[in-house]
Amino acid sequence: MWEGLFREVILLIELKNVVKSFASPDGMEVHALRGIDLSVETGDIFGIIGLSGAGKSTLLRVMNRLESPSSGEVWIGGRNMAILSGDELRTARQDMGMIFQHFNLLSSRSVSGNIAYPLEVQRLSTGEIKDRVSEMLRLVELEDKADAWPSQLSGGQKQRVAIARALAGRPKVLLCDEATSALDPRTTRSILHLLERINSSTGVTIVLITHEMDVVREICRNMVILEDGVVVESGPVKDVFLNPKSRTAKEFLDDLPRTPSQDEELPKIVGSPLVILRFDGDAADMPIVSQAIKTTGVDVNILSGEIDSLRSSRVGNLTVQLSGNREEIEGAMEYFSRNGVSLEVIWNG
Amino acid sequence: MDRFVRIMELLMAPTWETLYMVVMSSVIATLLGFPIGIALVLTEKGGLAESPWTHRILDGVVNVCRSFPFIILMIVLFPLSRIIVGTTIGTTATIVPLSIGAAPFVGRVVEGALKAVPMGVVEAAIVMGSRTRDIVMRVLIPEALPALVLGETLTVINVVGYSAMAGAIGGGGLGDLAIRYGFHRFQTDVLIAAVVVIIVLVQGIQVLGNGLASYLDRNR
Repeated sequence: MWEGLFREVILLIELKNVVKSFASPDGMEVHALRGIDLSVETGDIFGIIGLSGAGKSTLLRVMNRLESPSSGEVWIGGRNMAILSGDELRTARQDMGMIFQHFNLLSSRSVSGNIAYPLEVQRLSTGEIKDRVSEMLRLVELEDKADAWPSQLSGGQKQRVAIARALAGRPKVLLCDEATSALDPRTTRSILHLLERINSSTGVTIVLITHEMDVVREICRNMVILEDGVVVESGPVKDVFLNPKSRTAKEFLDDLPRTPSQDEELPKIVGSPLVILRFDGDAADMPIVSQAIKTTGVDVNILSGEIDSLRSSRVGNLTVQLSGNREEIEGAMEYFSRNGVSLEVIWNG
Repeated sequence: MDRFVRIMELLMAPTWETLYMVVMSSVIATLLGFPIGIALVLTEKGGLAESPWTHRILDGVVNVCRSFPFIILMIVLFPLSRIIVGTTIGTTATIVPLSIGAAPFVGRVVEGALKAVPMGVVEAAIVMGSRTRDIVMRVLIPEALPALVLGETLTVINVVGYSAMAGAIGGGGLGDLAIRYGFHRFQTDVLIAAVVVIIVLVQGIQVLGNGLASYLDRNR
């Protein structure tokens, strides 16, 4: 008895053997989910990652019954979503928020109007709605856009409005359907950090699906990897990262973009430019840097770098600071270019 | 000059009759057609109140009504006009077939406009726990409003055309004037004048509709 109670308190979401199959237009049966078992703890940020067609979108949509599972149980906060209908389903859904890749804001309503929508649906009084809307605007830092229209906002701002709208009704879970996939890398980071901040300040459980390993690495604590409608790997993110077992996990780790260190952490010395050297193939196997030092007399201060095996070739990048007189620096740059290394000067003062 | 004044005088009453017919019929057709359009969207496959049979029947009825040439529909509906209005002749009597003729058209226009609302927006409303009524009133109609206004414009212009046709079988209005004077009495100038008024009417309605639609669209 205690075990059952314990599970209900700790585990907000529990999927048991969830199967979803569609009849495709040509009459074939397509199995999007083939028996998913999955549990998410209360307060977690949980990532579901997979290649396109792995079934991750279907999995997320099964959680709030945008899709009905063919069989299995979908327990969310003590309710089996799979068997609810009518008003019960509606109220259960009000306990869950969802944001989308393409935001899906109402173009007929202002920012405030969009955030007010779920509260109107819950039949709150005008005063309550007004208070809650301004609270949500503050949360997503869009107080100055209260009366703006969605069409006047950037992608990142639209997603912020969507987050405010999804959370206005104080749901227990926030489902994120590729929420950052339509955004540029910088905006993606700011949205992810917003989600992280909201998770720690309100305790809302976040489940997100993505095809970007970076997103999972950035904010998730636990994750599953989905492949062909099956969970092939699950556990804390750092375990999956350190010890990937499945093919998909390895592929995702290989594809991680290598981000050079942030600008502001690098030392800036006048006359000593900061340069990123990128080499691949043969250049990666040659002692390019020591040769450059010997032939030109430049000083090279290595700030960060990595060399990686990607499929059959090796690639690498080094962030370095070049110092010496102007001739030596120019000589070194020319030497690098001549030997198949691409140069990017990121600071030169 | 006398002739001009005379034609103007001739045009006055029929113009008012046409306006009266068009306004009344458009309003009634919209009242009848709007729910049909909403029902078509809700009951279709994958709709919010999916009901294949209801949809099939509604769809069939709309198609049958729309296949009637208007002039035939008018004759078919003479008995109905007599029951409702008490006569089959004159502008008020014509409102009955005009409304019924235009209602299925309104239904299709509404159906098209509502279906153009992106599925994702509707899904967002569903997952927020909306009642179907909320989705229709707070999402579908407001989101589709500019398209609905343009569709309504199209409807009113269609009704102007039908009302002119109704003149041929005793409906009154500008069509009746054009046929009586222009066709039966060979007064081409009256015919042309009636046509000009109809053209001005249609242009005016279109300009009004476009203006209203783009006003509603200003922030989107």
